[in-house]
Amino acid sequence: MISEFDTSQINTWCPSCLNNIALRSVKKSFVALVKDGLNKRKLTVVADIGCAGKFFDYLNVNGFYGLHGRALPTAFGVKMANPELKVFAFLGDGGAYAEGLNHLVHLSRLNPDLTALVFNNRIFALTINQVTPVTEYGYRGSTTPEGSADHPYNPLSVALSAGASFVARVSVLNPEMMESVIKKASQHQGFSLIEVLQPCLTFRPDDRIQLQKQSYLINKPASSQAAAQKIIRSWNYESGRIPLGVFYQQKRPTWEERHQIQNWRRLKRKIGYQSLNQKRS
Amino acid sequence: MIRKSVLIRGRAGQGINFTATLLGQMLSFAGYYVFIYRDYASLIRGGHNFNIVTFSDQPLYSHDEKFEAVINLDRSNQDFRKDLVRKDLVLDEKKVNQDEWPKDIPQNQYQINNFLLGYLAGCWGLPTKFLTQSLRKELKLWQLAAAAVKLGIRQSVLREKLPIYPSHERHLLTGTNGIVIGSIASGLDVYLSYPMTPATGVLIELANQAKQRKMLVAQIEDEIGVINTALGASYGGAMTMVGTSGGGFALMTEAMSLAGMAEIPLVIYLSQRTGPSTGVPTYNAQGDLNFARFAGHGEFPRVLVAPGDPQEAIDRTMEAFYLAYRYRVPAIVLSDKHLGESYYSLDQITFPRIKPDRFIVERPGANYENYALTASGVSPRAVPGQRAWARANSYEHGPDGFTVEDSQMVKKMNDKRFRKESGLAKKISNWQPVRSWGRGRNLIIGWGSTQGAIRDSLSELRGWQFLQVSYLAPFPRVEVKKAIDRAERVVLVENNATGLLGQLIALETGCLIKDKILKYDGRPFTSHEIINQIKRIL
Repeated sequence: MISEFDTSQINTWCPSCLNNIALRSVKKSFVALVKDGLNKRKLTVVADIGCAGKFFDYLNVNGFYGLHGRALPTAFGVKMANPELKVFAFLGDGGAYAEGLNHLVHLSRLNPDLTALVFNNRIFALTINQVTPVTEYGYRGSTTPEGSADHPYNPLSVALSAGASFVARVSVLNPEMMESVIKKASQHQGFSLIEVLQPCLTFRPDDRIQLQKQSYLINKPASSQAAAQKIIRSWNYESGRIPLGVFYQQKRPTWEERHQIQNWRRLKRKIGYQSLNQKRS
Repeated sequence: MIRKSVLIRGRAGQGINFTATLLGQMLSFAGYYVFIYRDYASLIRGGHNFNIVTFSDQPLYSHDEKFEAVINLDRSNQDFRKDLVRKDLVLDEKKVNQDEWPKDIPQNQYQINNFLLGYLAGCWGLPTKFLTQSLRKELKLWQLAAAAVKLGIRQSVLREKLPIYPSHERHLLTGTNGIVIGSIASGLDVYLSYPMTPATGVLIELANQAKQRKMLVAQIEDEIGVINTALGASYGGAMTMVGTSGGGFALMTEAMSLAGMAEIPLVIYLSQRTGPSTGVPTYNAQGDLNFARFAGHGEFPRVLVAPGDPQEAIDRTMEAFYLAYRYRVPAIVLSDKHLGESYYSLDQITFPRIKPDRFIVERPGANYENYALTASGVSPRAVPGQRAWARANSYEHGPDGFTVEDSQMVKKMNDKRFRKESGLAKKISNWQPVRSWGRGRNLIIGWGSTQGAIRDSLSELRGWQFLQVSYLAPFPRVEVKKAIDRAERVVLVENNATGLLGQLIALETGCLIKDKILKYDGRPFTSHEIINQIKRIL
């Protein structure tokens, strides 16, 4: 029952915001995870700041509503404390690709076992319509009255280069696919990055049509990193067809495995006062 | 009373620190109290570095700047203040008698160092065994070094036979050692850091003990990552500490405020160096007191404690862990380069009676709320994975942790957080928030690493008492005000340019201290400087 994850918080997304579809998909994914045997008390969401952060208030699970740009290190810390937890980070393109890009690169490299959902609407929406690093050239936002003079970069390509072991892109317009990719990501042992294309109907209503027309499905992950790069780079966040699907998946040891992380809370420590007290001269 | 200093000077990479450590250990094995001051530049090889080893048969807590002997490894004599030295005991490679140097000892820098150590021991009639003991402790292949030491002793000429007190062997400890011991004794699970002098020592030492003591010690991409990861880990249930210096702490301040708002326990080891900005990275200052006291946007309670010696570093680190986890606040342990890297003699290591505790509720009830409004302001702490929803929030929130903007709840939650301050203040009042030495109508006030030099100056300052303020937040207003009101003359001694503790005292107690002895050239005080300056003020 998805209602077990409902909260009584008032939904403050814009009316008819496509995030509501995503919210339903997330809850359905959680239901599926619990059905597959996950103790629901282990579900933990870490939220960034922005429209994507608001998932925190609408999901009745453990949660940490952190700082803008810092959801990834915070989520990493949660796994560090207790590797048994199922951790999902909710970020926007501002938090993940602007303020917190360095963390995306490093977590891709380090491979902790958690899932990052980056809700990309290609603008800062909550602060009322400013460009992000994935906004296209020429976009007129509140701080770019003459149109943005800069081109976007490709964050999925960067994450893959840095070693991300699971890279995918989904669309909120295709909730079934989103649920299935979230499921695959949460089954993946390692860092999984899912970019969720989520057109902002308030500031960028045309994006919805573009996404419907331009997107196409990739059926299975590429066989090599190079092949995945090719698919990922086929869309430059400005024009052209938009591939959706799991682009790359690779099995490699997680950070927690390599560092032998345990659930510290259960560790009954014996403080070796004797050894601390040894003569040091 | 015996009180002597040895200067060991040379270029970085010549083994100055190691030679000084061996000398300090030898003297410690011989029963002396030892203080080692390290002075080095921000470079890896070359340049001019020195160590001062001061020792005495009486307790001592600081170094002197007049030397009985010099081990001089740097022939260029750059910056060598010869006027501070009794010239006839300058030991350098010229002391080596080439004819007597055996073929089986390579005549390299390290063996020359060992030879000179032996030579110095011989001048003072100290038996070989104490140096051999130090070598065995520090080196796997100690026999060769011991041969060089013996050669030095053999070629030396006895000048003054120093007594030995071998039953009085003591601990030789740095402030860094103290922080490490205190954090392990607090049940540390996770230590995160990004290398930055002079905080790196704790990272290195903990990393080397991590496996044996089942701790996680990790280097994170930057200080912003460090503290946000640490807050995630602490929220997740781990006993967590981070360590940095001023520049790194500047990057951490946004998350410092997050810790205050989300009420997530965290211990922050902040080791000061000379600022502002990159400053003089390998030198000392007490310039971050007010920064640490006020860091973070918005208002929230915090703990700020500044130990003044290695034993106090153990005590205060354990107190910081207790207070952070018991009261769910960020706690800063404020140290500096001088305390962190200087060696002090300790008769014994003691532990305060504080039992390590994560303060996690065993069985949170069905109606558990992470920010329950309680009389003490402290809400019971649950973590994810328990039978409750643990919700932490950087936004203002209701008791259940969900976001609120409602005016009444905003005020209620502010009041709840600040209610913790009275509990904190009461708790620390039992933990000697101020310490004092000496007796007299006149008062010296200081904090942190100036403690050693000030204590050593008291023997020559009649009628002066020294008050060390260890807790800066919550501030021990009553104790500080009482001491100031009682005193005839009050002098502030600080290793900074503007008298930051003086400013804080004015803010907290209304007392203005006019007489200040301030030093802000990157170097720590010696007791002689303090004595001279106090005499000048009078």
